[in-house]
Amino acid sequence: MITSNFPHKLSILIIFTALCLASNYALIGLPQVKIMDFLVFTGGFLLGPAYGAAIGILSWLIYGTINPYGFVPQIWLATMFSESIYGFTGGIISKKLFKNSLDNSYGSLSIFFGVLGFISTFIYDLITNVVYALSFNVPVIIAIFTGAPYTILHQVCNAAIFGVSFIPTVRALEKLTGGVWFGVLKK
Amino acid sequence: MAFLRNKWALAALVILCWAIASSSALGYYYLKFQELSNLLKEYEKYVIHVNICINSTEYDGKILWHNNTLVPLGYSLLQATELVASVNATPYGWGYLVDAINGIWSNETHYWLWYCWDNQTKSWKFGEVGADQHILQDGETVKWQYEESPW
Repeated sequence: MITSNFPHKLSILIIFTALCLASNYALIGLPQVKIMDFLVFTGGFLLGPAYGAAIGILSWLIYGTINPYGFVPQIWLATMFSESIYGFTGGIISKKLFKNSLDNSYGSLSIFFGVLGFISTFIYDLITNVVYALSFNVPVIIAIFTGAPYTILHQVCNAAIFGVSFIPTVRALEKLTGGVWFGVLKK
Repeated sequence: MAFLRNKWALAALVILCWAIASSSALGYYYLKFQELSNLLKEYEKYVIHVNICINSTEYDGKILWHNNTLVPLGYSLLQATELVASVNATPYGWGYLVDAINGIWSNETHYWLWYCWDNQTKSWKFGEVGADQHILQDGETVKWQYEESPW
């Protein structure tokens, strides 16, 4: 939806996409530990579900193509669209649950966003594992459970990153911009 | 958000995450167990089970039993002992002489000697060859004993 603050939102979307790419390449040596998911979620929370999904898709569009681990079209498409889940979830959560501000206690919010990070990562991993299984003719159950150590690490890391960093990041951005550009907080 | 003020709702969310993680871990370990069980079945014809006793009562009062030890088919007593204990052995023309097991060294008066259990006579039979020359059979029971030299 194009609104009067569309250019601002588009700029923020591009900045978030750039951040996702830069952080992913910087953390390439640490498998499963990425802040991209957090950034996509935050982008979605601040800009809305469509923009959030777009950050996820655009990030994987580039990162999936220029990737030192190789390029598999099916996996690439799956990760691109699964990544958008974070942005979409962030957008929906902010619209439906946090219309005005993050007015709950810090501890409760941290737990809530940690859990949200965990569950959205679980869905992301589930989708990518199922696509991997179908692409390489591996039984789905085997693909899901064989990768469990990596998916658990991914989910726990994201829960920690979301739980610890989300509130300070959003509050800092809100303070920095006054909340008006993002059109979500303090409308 | 009202439900965030409810501690039970938050606890339920955390428990949900724990349930997801533990179910994934359970599935992973079950698959690993199946994989290893199949591998063991596949190799069963190439392995034997033996019971190895290490008796050092004359030194420290200890008897160690390694029952049902899985050993590759064709392994000698020396090789099997090396699987369950730290062994020092010296090669001679006639075979290996075991100098120490688990850090207990032979000396002028005491040696490591080996015996195998004779099911017919129901007694320990003195090992007459070097430990490297005795090839173990499935179900065999052998004993290392730290004892005063019989010679």
